[in-house]
Amino acid sequence: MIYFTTSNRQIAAALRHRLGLKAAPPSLPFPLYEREGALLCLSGPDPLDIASGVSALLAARPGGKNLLLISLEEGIPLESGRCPREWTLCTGFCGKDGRPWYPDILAAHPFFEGGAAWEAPDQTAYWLFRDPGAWALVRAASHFLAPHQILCLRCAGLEEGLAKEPFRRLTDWCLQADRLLCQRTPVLTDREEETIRQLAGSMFLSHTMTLQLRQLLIYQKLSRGSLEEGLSGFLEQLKMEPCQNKREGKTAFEQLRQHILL
Amino acid sequence: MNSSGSISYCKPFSHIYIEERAAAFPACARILERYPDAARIPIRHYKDLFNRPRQDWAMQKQSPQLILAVKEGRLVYPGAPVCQSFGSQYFYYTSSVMNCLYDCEYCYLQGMYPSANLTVFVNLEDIFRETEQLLSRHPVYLSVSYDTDLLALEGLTGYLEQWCRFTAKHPSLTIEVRTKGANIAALRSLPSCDRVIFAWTLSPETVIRRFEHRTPSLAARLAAARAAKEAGFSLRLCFDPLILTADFQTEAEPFVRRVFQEISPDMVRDASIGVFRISGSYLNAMRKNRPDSAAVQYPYENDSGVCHYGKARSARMTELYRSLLARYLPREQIFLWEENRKEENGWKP
Ligand code: SF4
Repeated sequence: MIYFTTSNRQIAAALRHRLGLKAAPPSLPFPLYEREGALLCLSGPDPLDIASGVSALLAARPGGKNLLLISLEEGIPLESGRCPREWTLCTGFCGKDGRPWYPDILAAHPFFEGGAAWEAPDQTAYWLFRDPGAWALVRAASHFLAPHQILCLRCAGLEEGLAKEPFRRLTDWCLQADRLLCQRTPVLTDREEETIRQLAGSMFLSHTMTLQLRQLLIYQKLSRGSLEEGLSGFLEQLKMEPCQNKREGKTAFEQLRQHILL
Repeated sequence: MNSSGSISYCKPFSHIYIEERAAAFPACARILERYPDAARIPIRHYKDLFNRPRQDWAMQKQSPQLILAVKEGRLVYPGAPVCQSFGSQYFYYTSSVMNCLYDCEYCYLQGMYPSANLTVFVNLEDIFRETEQLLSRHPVYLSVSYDTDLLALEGLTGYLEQWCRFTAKHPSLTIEVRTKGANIAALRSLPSCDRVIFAWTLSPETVIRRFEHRTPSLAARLAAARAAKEAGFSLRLCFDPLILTADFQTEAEPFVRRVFQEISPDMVRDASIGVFRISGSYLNAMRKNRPDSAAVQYPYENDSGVCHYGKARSARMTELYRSLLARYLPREQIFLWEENRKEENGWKP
């Protein structure tokens, strides 16, 4: 799942057009546009609007580890002429008080790189953009997401950046990055989770023992490839013929442990 | 993007984060020279990056980045109770590097550190100074490749060469270099000293392939171990951690036989055996980081904060290896990590 955020109407319009995003029913104080697997939040331009927009979005629609958040904005150069007029990936941020924050740049990319600061903390050529909004966004988003899930791209020359080819390259890369970084499958399927619930019921297991059963069966699946492999129908039989009482359940659980652990 | 239109991870060390103070150290310049194309990002303090909340260890391992920093505070620590001290009274360890190029699924570093990024401390001289202070009071046995694999990193840091020189100059210092590495060229170029003990962690090939990602093969490790001995270093073989697999029993004997076919027993100073064990709090973090690793997701028994395979099972695993090693080495050269040692060492979970 990929969430884009911007406060720039031109960028929002280009994204909606390129990704075929449709207006979503109002649920947040900011307009949302979406399609399957992608969403755009159009916030106000003030750092407070940006921070509250992203916090509200991530609280209302948490994506866990399977979410990539990408902020796209026009870049305001710290020193005129120093910024490239192409899309630039921000590799570091600096707040008003000099506090830094860094994303993990894990996916190979074709963009320029540089820092975005509330105010430039030093004179090094590293700091490219004056961007209080970026600082507000990363601080808010970092309460919800891992550092590799938060990316900010800035473009000092929107006319060039929103031209068909550069913008297609940008959005293609964003979707690929989402696929590379944020699409994971859990070890247990929903059906297997349901099987564990049923087995726990069949064996009268307490909450703590249910957690132990789950750990045991995760190991079973990882070491043998499936929940059933090598257990000669033990689980099926337990589901069909539940134990009569807690004591029987405890004995069955111990048998299962002996079967699974080498 | 590649030809199929999908993108790949950044190359390791495509981004180097440089602490302001670190830039002045020669080691910093030396390391940067090796990566002329890396993006250089200035940072105030390595902890601003290394200690960020909610980092994803497994993802960072796909594309580890490099941090160059200055280590402060205490630099040399007394050995931890879960580690073997090989009978040394003054057992210490130090970390000039945090994290490792290799990617072992069972590695405790993923439970200990919030980040998988490699942090190299460029002020090795300060560690030398603190070691000299200890040496002025008593002999020192120092493990220098503790939270990393220095042999694997020798091409990057050159720290082993400096440690070997330093050890050769200090007769009451013995150092241990734990490794799974196979950099024979580096080993041959190091100043030789028999108080430098290279300790190779050895595992059956199936365990290496399944759990010790990016590490050299058993054959390569054994060749490197032989080269180290031939170059004048002391040699320790570590059958630690022993990892329980379906083939544990059947592959132990051929594995140990193969080791001693390649390494003559008289080349070996000593050997250690230890079953996998880990602190409960590290294991919790590791399970989040490695949801799909059978080595990490095994339902370990938690015994006063230390998780292990269970006393009886661990004892059987240890005994199997002890009896196999006893065919080649005298008893006093075989060190066992045993559960009850944690009490002797004042283990506090
Ligand atoms: S070689 Fe050692 S330090 Fe490196 S990943 Fe493996 S267990 Fe961890």
